[in-house]
Amino acid sequence: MISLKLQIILVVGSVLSFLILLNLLRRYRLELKYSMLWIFIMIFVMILSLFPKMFTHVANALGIEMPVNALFLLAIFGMIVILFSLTVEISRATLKIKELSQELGIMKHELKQINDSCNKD
Amino acid sequence: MKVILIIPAYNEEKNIAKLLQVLCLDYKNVDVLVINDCSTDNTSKVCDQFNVKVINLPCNLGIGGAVQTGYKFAQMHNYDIAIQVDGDGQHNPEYIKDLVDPLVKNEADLIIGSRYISKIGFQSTFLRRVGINYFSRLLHILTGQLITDPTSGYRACNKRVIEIFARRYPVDYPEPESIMYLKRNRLRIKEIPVVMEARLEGKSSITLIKSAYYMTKVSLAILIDSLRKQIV
Repeated sequence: MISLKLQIILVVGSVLSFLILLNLLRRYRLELKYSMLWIFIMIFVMILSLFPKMFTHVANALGIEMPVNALFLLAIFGMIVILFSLTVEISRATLKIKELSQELGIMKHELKQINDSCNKD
Repeated sequence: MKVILIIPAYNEEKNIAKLLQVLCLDYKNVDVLVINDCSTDNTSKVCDQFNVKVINLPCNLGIGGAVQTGYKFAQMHNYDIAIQVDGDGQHNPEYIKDLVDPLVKNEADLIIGSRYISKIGFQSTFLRRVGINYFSRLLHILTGQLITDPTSGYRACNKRVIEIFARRYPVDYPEPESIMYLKRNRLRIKEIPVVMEARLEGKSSITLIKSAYYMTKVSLAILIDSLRKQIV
C-alpha cells in the first residue's frame, strides 16, 4: 500500500497534467500523434492512484518488496519510453529538414537561372 | 561528357576566390557549383563575382548535407561525372584531370585523391595522421581494400555513384563512411596520388576535443554500415 498523502498527490498531479495536455491539444499547440503516449501514461497513473491496491499486485508481480518502489520503477520506465520515442522522432525530423533544405537551395538556384535568362531576352 | 565540380563552402570568403579564379580560367568545359552551407560571411557574394553556379542553403547542414546537395543537383541535370573539391584551398585543381581520367576509361566508379601515395606536400599533423591511419586500417579489415587516405574530400565519381550519393550520403565527416557504403554496394574505388596544400585561412572544423567524438562516431558509423544489407 502507498500512503494517503502520496495517493492524493498522484491523483491531483495526473488529473492536472491531463487537463493541461488536453488544453494544449485543444489550442493546436500539441500534435495528438506525439501526445498519445503521455495520455496513456496519465490514465495509467490515475487508475493506479485511485486503486492503490493494484500497486501491491504490481509490486508482487515484479518481485519488489515496497509498493512505492514499484511506482518509481514504472515512472522511470515510462520516462525512458517517452525519451526514446522523442529521439526517434527528432532523427526523422532532422532527415526531413535536411532533404527540404537541399531541395529549397536547388530550387532557389533554378529560379534565379530562369529569372536571369528571362531578363536577358 | 557533362562534368560538374562540386565545392562545399562554409565561411570560406578568404579562400574560395583564389580557387574559383583558377577554375574559371583553366576549366571552361567544366561546370562549377558552389554549395554555400549557410555561411555567415561573404562567401556567397564572393562567388557571385565569378560566373559560377551557387546554391545557398537556407540552414547549415554540415559538410555531408552540403555535398549531397551537389550530388542531387548533378543527378537532376544528368551530369556524367562529379568532382568534389574542398573550398578551403587545400586541393590544387591541377589534379582534376588525373581524377577524371580513370572514370572516362571506366576503371573505377570513385577516384580518391590521396596525399599518402607519393607522400609529398602537406601531410597533416601527427595526431591527425594517426587518426587517418586508423580509419585506413579499419576499412582495410572490413572491405579488403587498402585506401591510404580515407578522409580525403578530393574525389571524383561517375553517374552510378552520383545517383547513389544523391539518394543517401553520410551526414558529418562523411568521407570514410561513404567508402564503406560504396564498397558494400560493390562499387570500384581507386586512389591516385595528389599533393595537398596547407589550409590558407580559417580553421578546420575538427578540433582536438571534437576529434575523439568524431573518431568514435565515424568508427561506429562504419561498423554499422558494414552490417547493413539495404542497397541504398
